[in-house]
Amino acid sequence: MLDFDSTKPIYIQISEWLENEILNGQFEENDKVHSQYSLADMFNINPATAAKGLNLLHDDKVLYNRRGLGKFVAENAKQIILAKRKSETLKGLIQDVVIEAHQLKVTEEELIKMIQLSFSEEKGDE
Amino acid sequence: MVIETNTLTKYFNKVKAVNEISISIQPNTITGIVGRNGAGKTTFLKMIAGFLKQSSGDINVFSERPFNSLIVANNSIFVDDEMLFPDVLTLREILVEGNRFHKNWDMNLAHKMLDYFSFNPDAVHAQLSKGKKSTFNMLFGLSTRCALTIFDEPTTGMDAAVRKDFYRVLLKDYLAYPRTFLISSHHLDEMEHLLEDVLLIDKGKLLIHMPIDDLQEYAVGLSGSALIMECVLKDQDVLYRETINKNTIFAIVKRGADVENLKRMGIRIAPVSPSDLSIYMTKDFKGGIDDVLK
Amino acid sequence: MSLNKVNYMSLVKKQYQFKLKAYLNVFNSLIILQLFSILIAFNPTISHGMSGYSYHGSLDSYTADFSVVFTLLWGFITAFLITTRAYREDDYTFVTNNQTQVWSNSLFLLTISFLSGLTAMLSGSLYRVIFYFAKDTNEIIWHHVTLTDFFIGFMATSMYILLFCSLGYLAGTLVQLHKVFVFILPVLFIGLLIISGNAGKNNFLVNSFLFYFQEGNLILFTLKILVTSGLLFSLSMLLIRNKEVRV
Repeated sequence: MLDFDSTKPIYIQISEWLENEILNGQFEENDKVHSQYSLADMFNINPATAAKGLNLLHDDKVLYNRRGLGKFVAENAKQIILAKRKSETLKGLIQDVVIEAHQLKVTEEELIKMIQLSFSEEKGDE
Repeated sequence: MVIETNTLTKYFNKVKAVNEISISIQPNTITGIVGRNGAGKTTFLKMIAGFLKQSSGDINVFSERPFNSLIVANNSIFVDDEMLFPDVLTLREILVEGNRFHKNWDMNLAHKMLDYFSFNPDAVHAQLSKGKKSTFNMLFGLSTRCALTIFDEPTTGMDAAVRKDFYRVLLKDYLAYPRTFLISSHHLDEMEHLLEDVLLIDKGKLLIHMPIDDLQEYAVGLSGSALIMECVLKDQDVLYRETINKNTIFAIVKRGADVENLKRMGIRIAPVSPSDLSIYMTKDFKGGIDDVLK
Repeated sequence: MSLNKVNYMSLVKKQYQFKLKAYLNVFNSLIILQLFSILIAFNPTISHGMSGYSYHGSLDSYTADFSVVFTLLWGFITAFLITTRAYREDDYTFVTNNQTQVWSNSLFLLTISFLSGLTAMLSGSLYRVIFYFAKDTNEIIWHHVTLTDFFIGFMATSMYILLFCSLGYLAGTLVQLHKVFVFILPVLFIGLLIISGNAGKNNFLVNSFLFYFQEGNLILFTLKILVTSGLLFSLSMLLIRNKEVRV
């Protein structure tokens, strides 16, 4: 479930996993998510690392805290996650693609054509 | 704070085995202690356990000087491959003694592990193979449930499967019965997921003490053409550099904000695992093993 | 998590009980020594022959005291052994510090002094029984031993063993502190013997020996030994208090 060899820090992998669970509907709004201890047990990691992942989502307002009870899914968690992924993750990926294209001397038009091709392949699969 | 040291120093025959280490360790955390052989890790841990006396500086465990302290002896256990058990007792009898001395001892856990790792309860410790000894010492240490549990290179001689089981049982027992763990090991890469904090010791000195999550993002590896790299490295905090060939330089630098910029300049950026970082930071800069074969 | 408190006396007791199990091997050598001592006791210590014109007689004296002497040596050596690294470090696998270790070692040595004192006395009895059946002569003159004599002999023997144990423990402690004592101590001892030999009447060695040996009252005697051993163990505790372990 976790890639220990990945370049991505574990606590970020944890937060992304939780985000996916929320997007998939495994956790509804106002549901309690796993505690740092149960995450630690599930993923075989230190609970402090799991807590860091939870705190990351709390800071992003995806989760809210109820003292002594744990962390719960916020009301508009799904929207927050999608917006975050669009503005950060997708943006970051696009930046990397543009830099790579630049290195390979691929022009803007060529790159857009490649993206359009990928879109239609995706539609074809659906 | 469960452990606190202040410019802790230990001499062995005029050599500083531990050189002015000042740290504090929070209770109920798992701390990994890494460094090369002879770096001073074991000496440091033996002072914490109360076996050795410092040459200078302060050390407090449970707010007490650990040497000769019964509070420290009663609430801590030091596990390594040189642990001595009486020749005349069987493994089963050793567990009985463990139960008598340690208030938190869990006999159920001890016997289950004895069984799981295929020990004969009537065997004698001195006749076990090296790996089996380490395994037994490890399960003994875990069963004490001491508030401070120290493992010094606990996996010596253990095969990979047993090592995996050890990490798993340690984590699970820590979750169920939180206590302070100190683990020194050469297999940092295997243990990273378990740890909360890391201590890197080199030639007696403390190089790094930080949470493992921070350590994973502490440095980046840069590689690129010699020209560009020379230019870039002037502004970086360089931890290690190596000339790969005429045209390529590889360096490890502290992570800064301008990662995007470096990418644009054509420099390849890769993360540096804590394990690799430890290796690079403790190299002697006398060249690599390749030079020996030249 | 909260720390477990330490009850000093209860810890010493636990260590003592541990040692009764873990140090059992010391009795192996004791048994061998005492059986051996019975064997060699069959050689007469004094052989006296008389002859005249028409008669011939011989008187052989035997004693089982060898077992006591061997046991004294065994006590010294055993006490010396338990100060060595292997034995010391066993304790540190469990719970101990330098002081409680000396306490539990002293209690252990006290116990084996009585046990070996008893077996030394009983070897004497065993010897008599074997002697009776082995020697096919009816002309044996026995030294009668009453129960009281046996008890006094037992207490005296045990106390002497305890004294030797405390000397052995101190010797071992000194050697642990510095290897040079392996040479110094025997030299000192032999030197003391020589000097005492030359001193004639007022010599230290004989007088200190007589201090114990001449005491007629069992209670006073026991007290003298207990105090002396106590002082020797205390000195060992003082000397060892800063010694590191698992270096």
